[in-house]
Amino acid sequence: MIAVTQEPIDVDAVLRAVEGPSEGAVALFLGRVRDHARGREVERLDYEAYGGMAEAEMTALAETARREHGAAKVALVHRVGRLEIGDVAVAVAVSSAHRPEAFAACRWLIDTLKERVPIWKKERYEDGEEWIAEHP
Amino acid sequence: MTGPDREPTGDGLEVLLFAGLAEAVGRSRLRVEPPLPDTVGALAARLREEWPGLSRATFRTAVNQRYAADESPVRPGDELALIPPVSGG
Repeated sequence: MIAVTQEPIDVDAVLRAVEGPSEGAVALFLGRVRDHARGREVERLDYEAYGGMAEAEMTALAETARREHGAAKVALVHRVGRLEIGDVAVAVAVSSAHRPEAFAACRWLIDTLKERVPIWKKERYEDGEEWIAEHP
Repeated sequence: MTGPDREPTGDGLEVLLFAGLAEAVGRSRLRVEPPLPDTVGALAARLREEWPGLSRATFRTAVNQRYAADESPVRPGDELALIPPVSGG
């Protein structure tokens, strides 16, 4: 399961996507909208994606996770549009036979997604807004 | 890997802008008319000259939805995109 979606992320569906009879370990990472950043209070976020390229990059990351990081099955879902505090913005699920590969691949996937995938967030504050540039 | 569906664009091409770059320029797509520069780097340099909002901006470039190096070729009909620093997750 690889998706960029306007809809709320169905975490149960994300977990089901990595189920398998040989996969005894599942690691799940959820990124949720936080009420503060860089010392400022955040009211909400707006996410924008270069949709087709974002999904293509996420597909390539999933393939690399399977080939080089020991993942058996991978699910990557990123939400875009207007998100409120506490909403799930990104879900990464990885299954493998045993836990070391699941943890390691999950960590690599979220770190690399944040560096490469063309998605941007705008933080909304009480008194303004700002596009965040984290990874040049 | 196939490129995205897109309208025929004759001898020119479309450049997509996102997030803060789109706001800095005031539009989310730019049309580049021929004669086209040969490479991604030369095209980016031309856009920086033509659009003040891009002159000092930080961005990577994608061709047909893949990150591209400055020396990558540019062809009519390609979908180019300027990718400002990302902040997903």
